[in-house]
Amino acid sequence: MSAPTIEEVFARAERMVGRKVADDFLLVPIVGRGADADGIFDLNRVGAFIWERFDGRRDGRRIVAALVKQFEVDHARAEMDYLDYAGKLLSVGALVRVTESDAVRSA
Amino acid sequence: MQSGTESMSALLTAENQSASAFLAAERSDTAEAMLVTCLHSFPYVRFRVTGDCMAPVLPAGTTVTVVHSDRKPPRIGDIVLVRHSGGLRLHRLIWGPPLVRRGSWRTKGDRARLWDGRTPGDAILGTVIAGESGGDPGRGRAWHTARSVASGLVSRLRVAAAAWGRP
Repeated sequence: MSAPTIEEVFARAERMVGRKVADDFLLVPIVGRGADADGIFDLNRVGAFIWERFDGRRDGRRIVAALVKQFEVDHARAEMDYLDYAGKLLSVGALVRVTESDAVRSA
Repeated sequence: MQSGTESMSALLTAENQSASAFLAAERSDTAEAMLVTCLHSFPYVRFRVTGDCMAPVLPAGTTVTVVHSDRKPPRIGDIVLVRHSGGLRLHRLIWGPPLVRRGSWRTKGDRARLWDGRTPGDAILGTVIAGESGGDPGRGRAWHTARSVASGLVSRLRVAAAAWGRP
């Protein structure tokens, strides 16, 4: 699987749902109609912030801009961490790439 | 968007937290909240068993499917997800419905010598309905229940006898 780029648009995979539990934000993988608790990811605030922006419309530039605005971080660091994070989520199947044809279809 | 900026320390770590690790670890409050949320939100929840207290029925590594106790009310002999003072456990219900509905229920690991402490019915969070990787929660259910009750009674008698014989 190729590494994510800042120009790409990602959407949350249908097999993964987010749930807020107390102060934690969990990504729960779905197996059939149930939850696979062994594959749960525990996101921190920043992770949850970005996860909510993987909406299939915003590209990496917009999400990084939102990060820089919201958190104390310089642009270069935010972009590097964003790409690392998106890569992790892609590797576990939590994200799907949105191609231009997907975007046209959904418009 | 919230106003102001926030520290970005410990940035972007997506930690994979397995329920099995939660069950065994000190973060039992998080584990419980997580599992309760999942049991409420989904028809069933799957996770891996750690520890051998329910072997050979559910050896370590078995993936179990658990449903909320409202979906499948537990009965004596069922393996249940129960909240104890020491954390969450997958143990067998050896005293509870249909014999008693209210009051204290009792659970026990099949390989444990002693029964667990008394527990209210609402501490039973879920009921195991299936096991994979070699485990079958229904296999030998009556035998394991009877054995659990008997061994628990024997252990209690031993404790009582030891106390009786103490000067």
